[in-house]
Amino acid sequence: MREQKKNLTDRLVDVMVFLAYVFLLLPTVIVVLAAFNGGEYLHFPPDGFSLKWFSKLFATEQMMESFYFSLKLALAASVSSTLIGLGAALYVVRYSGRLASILRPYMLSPLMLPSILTGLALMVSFYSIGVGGKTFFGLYAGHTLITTPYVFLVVSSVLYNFDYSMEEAARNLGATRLQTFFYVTLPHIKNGIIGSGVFAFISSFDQFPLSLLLTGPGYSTLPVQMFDYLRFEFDPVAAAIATINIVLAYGMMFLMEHSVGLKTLYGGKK
Amino acid sequence: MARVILDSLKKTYGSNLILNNISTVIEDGELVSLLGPSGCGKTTTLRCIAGFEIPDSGTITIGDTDITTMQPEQRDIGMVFQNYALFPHMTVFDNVAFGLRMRKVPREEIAKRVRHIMKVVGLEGFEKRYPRMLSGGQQQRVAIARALVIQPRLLLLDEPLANLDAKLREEMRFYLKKLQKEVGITMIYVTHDQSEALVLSDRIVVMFNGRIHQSAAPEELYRHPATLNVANFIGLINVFDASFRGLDGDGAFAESACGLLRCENFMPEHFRGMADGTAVKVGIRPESLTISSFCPESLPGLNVISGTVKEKVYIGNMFDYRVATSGGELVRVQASPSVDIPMGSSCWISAGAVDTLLLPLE
Amino acid sequence: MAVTKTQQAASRMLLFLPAALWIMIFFVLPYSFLGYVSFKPTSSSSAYLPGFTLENYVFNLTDPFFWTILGETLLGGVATVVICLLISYPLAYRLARSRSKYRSLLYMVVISPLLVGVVIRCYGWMVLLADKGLINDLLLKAGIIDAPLPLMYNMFGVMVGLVQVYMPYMVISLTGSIQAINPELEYTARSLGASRFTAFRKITLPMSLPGIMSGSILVFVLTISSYAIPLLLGGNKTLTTPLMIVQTALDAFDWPGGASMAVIMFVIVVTLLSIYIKVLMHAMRGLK
Repeated sequence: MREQKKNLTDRLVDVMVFLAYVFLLLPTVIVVLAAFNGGEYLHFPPDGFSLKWFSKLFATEQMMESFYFSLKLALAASVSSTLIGLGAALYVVRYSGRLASILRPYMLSPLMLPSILTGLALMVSFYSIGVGGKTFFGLYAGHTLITTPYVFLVVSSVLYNFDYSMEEAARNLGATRLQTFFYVTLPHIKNGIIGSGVFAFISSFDQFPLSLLLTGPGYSTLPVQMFDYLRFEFDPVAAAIATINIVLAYGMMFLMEHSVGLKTLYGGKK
Repeated sequence: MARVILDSLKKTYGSNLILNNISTVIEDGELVSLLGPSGCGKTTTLRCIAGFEIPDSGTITIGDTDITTMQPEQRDIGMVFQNYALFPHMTVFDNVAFGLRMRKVPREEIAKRVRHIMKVVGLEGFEKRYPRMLSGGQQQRVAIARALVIQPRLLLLDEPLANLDAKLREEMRFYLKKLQKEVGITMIYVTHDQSEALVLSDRIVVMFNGRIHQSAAPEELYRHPATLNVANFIGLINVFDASFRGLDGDGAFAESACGLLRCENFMPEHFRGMADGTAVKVGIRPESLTISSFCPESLPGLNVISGTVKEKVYIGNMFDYRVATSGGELVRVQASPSVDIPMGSSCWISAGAVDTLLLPLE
Repeated sequence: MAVTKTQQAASRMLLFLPAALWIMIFFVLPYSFLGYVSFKPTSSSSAYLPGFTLENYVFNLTDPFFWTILGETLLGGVATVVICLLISYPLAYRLARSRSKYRSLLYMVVISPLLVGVVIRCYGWMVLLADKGLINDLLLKAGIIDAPLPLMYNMFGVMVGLVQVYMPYMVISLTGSIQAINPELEYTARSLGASRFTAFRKITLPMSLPGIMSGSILVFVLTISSYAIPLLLGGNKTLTTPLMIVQTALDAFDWPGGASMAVIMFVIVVTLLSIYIKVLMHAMRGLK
């Protein structure tokens, strides 16, 4: 197929768009390159392929510990926020009627406010009631809090797009409310639930400012641990763990795109 | 067996009266259409019968059972939705089998009944496909099969043909009618398309603004519309402003700008005791009018109006005239092409009193 | 009938209850407490003293240093938004109008940086921008410069990080609003004799204004409340309001001082967000 001839402006825009994509991906790509680079600094030409930063990483106990800690935390928080957010979305979309215009902003508010302020507010409150700010529970409460709005947002947009006559058809054919939910409604919103759960997991795993204020000795999340590490050392051990983190996040996204379709996450219809 | 009785149904949303005293009886095996413009309450009536809405007052009974407040799943009523509402994550077979599974019908029995119903709707061999792989007409038939396979007491259809293209719509009308006679099921059919209702129904219930204006067989409805709205909604009609001039034997008189008109097509109960001079409407269908270039002989049962031909269109089997009457109205006349009156020339149009409708103002 | 309806309403409320409580206990109450603390007298020996005072607000709002930092933070926000917009618009336009089969892949590329934590992305920039980093290394080896350029631990490094981290939000917002514009409008304008650029300027650009507005406000809010990026890429050289709040509340252990700054920040953010929501609502009404 022949295309209309491109003029200079077109080509200029092409270049700008290309550079914008490069700019978006650059830091991620660089981190991965640094992790496999033989030298301490990334040079040009590179120092050759090496896995030594990975072996050093596996020997760095604090890093590995905080990696597993973050996994545990993200799992706990994302499961909780998925359940809480699903219930809230069902209620707000289906049953809240005119109250929805109040309940929606209420549900989304934790997403709206700077997490550093939320972290500060939580920390100060936990201290004051004597719980102490730096416990697993504090982190779990905070992470669940800020990931719930994602789940709520995605699941409620899926529910809004849901064709209710399908539920009525099921009821009409003799299914009870509960049967209708499990046989008709759930299969439809399942993708949205899984998708938002995965997204909640990833954003909990990556969360930094909130964790920084709520992390204590023995309760260090991976981003906080990396941050501490980068303050004192600048070797690519951080790049190695970051690479694992990146592969994990992209892998989850890839699996989701294939099984669920990412569009559910930005509110598009399937 | 499955006689459906709607008794004084009322429903309001906020301050909107959606259903205003809806009462009608649907006999066993009858195909009844609820016809009316959007917002007239026909869909709400259907949803009340299906159990997706509960009327504020009034009762719905099927046979001897009052179902007014029963849960939808306990009603044993089939329903076909406007957008079909097929479950996209289930195959055609699973869609059709859904209702049977909910009724805990044994597996072999399900297989047998699904196979049978698929034959009835002419979709054998489509069981393993997903709804999105079917055409609109096929999806439609799956929806019908799914509703019929549970052998409901009553089948409700909510504008089932609205999403189909014109040609298919035409075909499906006859198909549905044939299917209904074959299966022998009572059907309530919601539509805003008068020709659809005329083709399909044993009886049509015409609704406006939450009220039933008339409930009659198609022919009766066309020939003797009870209200101006009904007359306007079903077929074409010329309407003249007039004032009532009293009853006289089988007929009545009304004074219009074109002179005194005798009307013998009306519902006497609307006019008994009406004061002389009350504003009314006179309606004459375009095909009831005869047009000629000379003044017809004045007969007691004939209304004659003089006018001028303003427009004339040849549409194959007839001429479609627009005539400006002496009273100033523009009247449509559909006449056989054997009489050809030139544009601009004066003419006389006439209609028998039996074809001249007298209608009360709303 | 009436009883069962109330019961049903109550059982439905159970769906919402966990979320309502969670947000109440871990969000509304802590913020309220922060607000409460901001009216308490400062103490050097404990978190705060009993009583009520406006002293903290008076102190902050009359402190030129607080205003300087707030001004710089807001200015940095505006600059980030402008740069973000300039880089994102061509990309969003191409993405919205693309009919390529790689379109969803490109969309993935745009949103995928959101999957990578802010610390990691800052680290990537550190590897690039440090004195011994890749860019300085390349420039030195090429003989273009003699001494490493100061690319990070300054405002430049912070801006690079901010723009890159928050750009996806801008692109998503722009793409959405450009997609909503019927491309035939632009074709119509061109068939009426407008050049491609004129058609863009007169049709698409003004019609995408809601997307520009909402994307800008969103990025602005995210930028001015950003904590990690100025901390990591600014080193100790750049101070922003969020950094100042944490320093005051934690490092100086002045809870009331930090809390009052947080409340001021909170008011700014909430005001901007309500404008954002108004803009969105207005834009959505225009589309219907």
